[in-house]
Amino acid sequence: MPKPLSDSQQPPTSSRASSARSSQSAGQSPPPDASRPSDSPPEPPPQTRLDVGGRALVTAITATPAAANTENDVERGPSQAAVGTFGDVDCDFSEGLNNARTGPGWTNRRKHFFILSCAGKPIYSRSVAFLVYPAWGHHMVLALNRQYADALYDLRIICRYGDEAKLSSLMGLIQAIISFFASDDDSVRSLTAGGHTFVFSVKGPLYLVAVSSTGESVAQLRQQLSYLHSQILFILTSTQLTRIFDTRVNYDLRNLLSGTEMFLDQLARSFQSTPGFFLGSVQCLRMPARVRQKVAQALSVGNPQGLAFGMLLAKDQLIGLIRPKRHSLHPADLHLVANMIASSSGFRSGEAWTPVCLPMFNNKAFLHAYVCYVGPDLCVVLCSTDKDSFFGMSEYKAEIVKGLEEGGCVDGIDEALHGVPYSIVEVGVPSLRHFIVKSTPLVQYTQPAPAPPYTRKDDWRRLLQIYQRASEALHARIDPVSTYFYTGPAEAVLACTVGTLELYAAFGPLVSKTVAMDAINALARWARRCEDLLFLGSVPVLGSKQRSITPERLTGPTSP
Amino acid sequence: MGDGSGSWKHRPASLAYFAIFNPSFSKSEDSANDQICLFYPSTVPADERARQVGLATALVNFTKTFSPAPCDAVHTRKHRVILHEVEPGYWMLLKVRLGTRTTVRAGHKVVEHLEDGLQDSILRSVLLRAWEAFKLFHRGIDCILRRHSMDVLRKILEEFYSGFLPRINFGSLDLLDAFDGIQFASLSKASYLQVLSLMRALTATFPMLKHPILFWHDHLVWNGLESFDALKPLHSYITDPETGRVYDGVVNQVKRKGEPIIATRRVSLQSVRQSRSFLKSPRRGAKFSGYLVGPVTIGSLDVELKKIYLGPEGIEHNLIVYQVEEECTLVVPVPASEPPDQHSAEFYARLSAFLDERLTTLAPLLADGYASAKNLGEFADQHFRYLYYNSMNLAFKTSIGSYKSTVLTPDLVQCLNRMHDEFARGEYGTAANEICVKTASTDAWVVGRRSGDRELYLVFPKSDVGLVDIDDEVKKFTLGYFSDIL
Repeated sequence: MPKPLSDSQQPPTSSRASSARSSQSAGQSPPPDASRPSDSPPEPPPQTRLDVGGRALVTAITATPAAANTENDVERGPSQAAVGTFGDVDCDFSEGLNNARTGPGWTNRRKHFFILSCAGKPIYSRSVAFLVYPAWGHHMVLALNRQYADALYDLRIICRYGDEAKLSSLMGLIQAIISFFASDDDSVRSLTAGGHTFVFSVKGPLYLVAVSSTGESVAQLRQQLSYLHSQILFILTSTQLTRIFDTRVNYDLRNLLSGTEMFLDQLARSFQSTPGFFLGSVQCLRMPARVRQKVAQALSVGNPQGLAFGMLLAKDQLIGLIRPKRHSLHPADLHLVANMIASSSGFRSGEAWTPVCLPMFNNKAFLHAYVCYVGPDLCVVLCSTDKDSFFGMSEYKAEIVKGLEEGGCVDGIDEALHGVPYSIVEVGVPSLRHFIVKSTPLVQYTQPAPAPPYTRKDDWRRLLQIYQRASEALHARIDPVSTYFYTGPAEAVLACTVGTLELYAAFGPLVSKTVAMDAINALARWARRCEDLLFLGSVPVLGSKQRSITPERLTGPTSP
Repeated sequence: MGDGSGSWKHRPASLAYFAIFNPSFSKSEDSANDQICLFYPSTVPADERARQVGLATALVNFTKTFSPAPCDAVHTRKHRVILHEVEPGYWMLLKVRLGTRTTVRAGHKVVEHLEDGLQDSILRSVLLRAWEAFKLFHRGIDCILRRHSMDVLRKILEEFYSGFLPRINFGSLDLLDAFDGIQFASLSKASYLQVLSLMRALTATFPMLKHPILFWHDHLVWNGLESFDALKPLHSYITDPETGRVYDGVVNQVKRKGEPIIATRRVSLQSVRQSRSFLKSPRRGAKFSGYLVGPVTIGSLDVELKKIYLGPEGIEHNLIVYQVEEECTLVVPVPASEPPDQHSAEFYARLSAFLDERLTTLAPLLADGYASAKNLGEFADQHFRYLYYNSMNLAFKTSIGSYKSTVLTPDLVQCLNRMHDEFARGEYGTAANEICVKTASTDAWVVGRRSGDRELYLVFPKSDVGLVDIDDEVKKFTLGYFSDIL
């Protein structure tokens, strides 16, 4: 049993958390720049400070063998987070873009996110150039070609962050544009300039702007901005955010967010690689119902005081969930939690205790998240309403682990994890290139592993964009459609709703509609047959201490 | 206004303002109004004009930070703005107020802004047409400014656009506005040869008439101009049902007051074409024949030449328009380089005699062609409506609204608008060749196809069949009518 703490009986907290909480409870002026609590009380030996991507995260280390490697992990953590993805490059917006030399291949594929305060202060900026690693290597070979050589050279220049003055003046301009329209009792929503789309979003004291030449629609970019905004609330809560700007309009929010940029970075990267965001649903680990039931049983035993949500996650996929009777876990909140875990490898090395706000659940207050990996990919996340419940959560986690072992779920989960992503061959519809099946009432989706040509990132992003358009058409506020069939030069996509299922299927560009319709019907039959396997159909609720499962949905009926 | 009895109130979209400006004309903050060549309506106060134009300039500069192309469209909660650099340095700006629907919900007024028909691609066509129309009669802004003062330019622009802009109905824009296409007359081989020989005879008899253009009602029968781009603004002007209704300084006031020179062109997919007027005129015997542009009375010596400018270079032409029996209209732009003494009273009298004789015999043939093509189309019309456009030769054809029963409901018109917008956007995003959708509310199928310059839309209202059956219908149709091109 982990008993890491000594005299103070205080569970470990992150420095940001304590500063946030002090301001919250006392209701005083927002934390000034130097609000980080001095580490005055010397920390007890078993407690190690983890610096994850610049964010100080104090973690209690359990007596696991992993603890020994902690120091090394810490060193690797941030750098991995920065480079371990598909070559998305941070770059300065202006230098990169004024560069005609880089050719259409480069300028056409850029996307920028800016977040600023209503006073025009920069908060966050990220420019993403979509380069693909395999292609990278390929281009390196071609570097003798002058055009590519130029491209590589320019990339070196733009790979650093733009200088502060430039960023500030740009943010000032954005702020001026937004307030100009506001003074006309109007609000600017989007601009287009050739192939570039600019989307503006005003969320309370924050202004968010997306600039994209990726071909994504305004609605899609707006949704992404909304996710980024939720990510900021996740770190700060709306209460704190509002109070900060009420008291000091000119406050530089970067002081409070420093160290958490990696969450936003990770999120910005994910938008174009997973469909979960635009589908507004989560991916569930494909697993036999028998194992699912065992997992649910393990989760429903010994719920500690203060527990709000308990989640079992593996590789971004949901395995098990426990929730309060009256509340459901919104997919957007789950995305933020999964994003947090994916952002930092620091969580792998012990138990972490950190304040989080789930904006869809309650955007005004913090919950406290207990994060602990209990297997190579298996992660337990427990959200508590009680900031002092670290030990309770830790004990509950031990219970869960025990329950999983006793129930024989460990092998089941391992097996399931080995089985994902599954191959499209399993569906037995040869004309299908790829598909997504979404269960509307369960807000969950499933998809097979991308097979060629979608193993190439460019093709995959294009396919996701077509799916996005189809999803937009199905859910349009005005005149929605029930069937959407798209044919383009590289593929055909058929999307439709069948009962409670939403189906998206990709075919070769020359597919006949007869074949496509047959395929989608076969897909619907397959999905219905495997519904138990694909989706987490029932979620245990808190407080039912008995080993019984209340068959309730992941979410309740969606309110308008 | 009037929160009264009704549960909802609809206000259509309308023009907020239209401006032409050149930022390089304003040297300082104080002289911001110097850059404005036109601001319509003129009731807007000067400082507000400067403010709006300043914003547009700022947006162009802002977007240039990121994109090689400047800002071309702005969406706000209440407005749509389209910006276009029509001549180097000169910007044209169109701002449209969105339509609103006001509903009273639980005692509160809820105002909803609607973007029906205000897709960027459609508004951009409207803006470009406004520019093309100006160029047709005035060649270009810079040309005027080189010869005259800024005040003269402002006067010319003001005069032209205060006549042109009120004609546009922003409340009901659709694909007809987006394409501004040309209806080609259906000609059998025999009647084609008739037309051909007539045109040969015309240019042989009157050598200066090198580029004759012949219309049967609003249908194009013959285009003697080298490019369709040059024809487009001229066609737009001649066939516009607003042309001739009020005196515009070009067309003779020879018809009845308030009557257009050609009335048959449809302006909206939601209006019925008056097909009756094609085949028989309501006022038998009172059909007009004579010069619409040219001498008012044949034999009068004093002929005022009307100048138009064609093609990208704006080559000066003198315009002659002659109509026979309100059916056939011959439009001839005569290059200004031709010797002017040709424009004699004798020439006009000869031309009119020639046309009266030849066109009256041709007209029945054209009417027959139209009627037989219409019968062919009737079969298709029972099942679906189609709309075809080829942006290369501007050919445009539709069965939508041929009869009262084939008029589309507003939601289907919007569906077409959105589909066209998606095709138009294709060059930047994921290009689409075909999109089929089934609307959730009305169960209608809408199929859009694009290949190269051509766009074809088919609408199957109220059908309970599946995608496969629809595909069969589309195949049958395209094989029957467009087998060689789609």
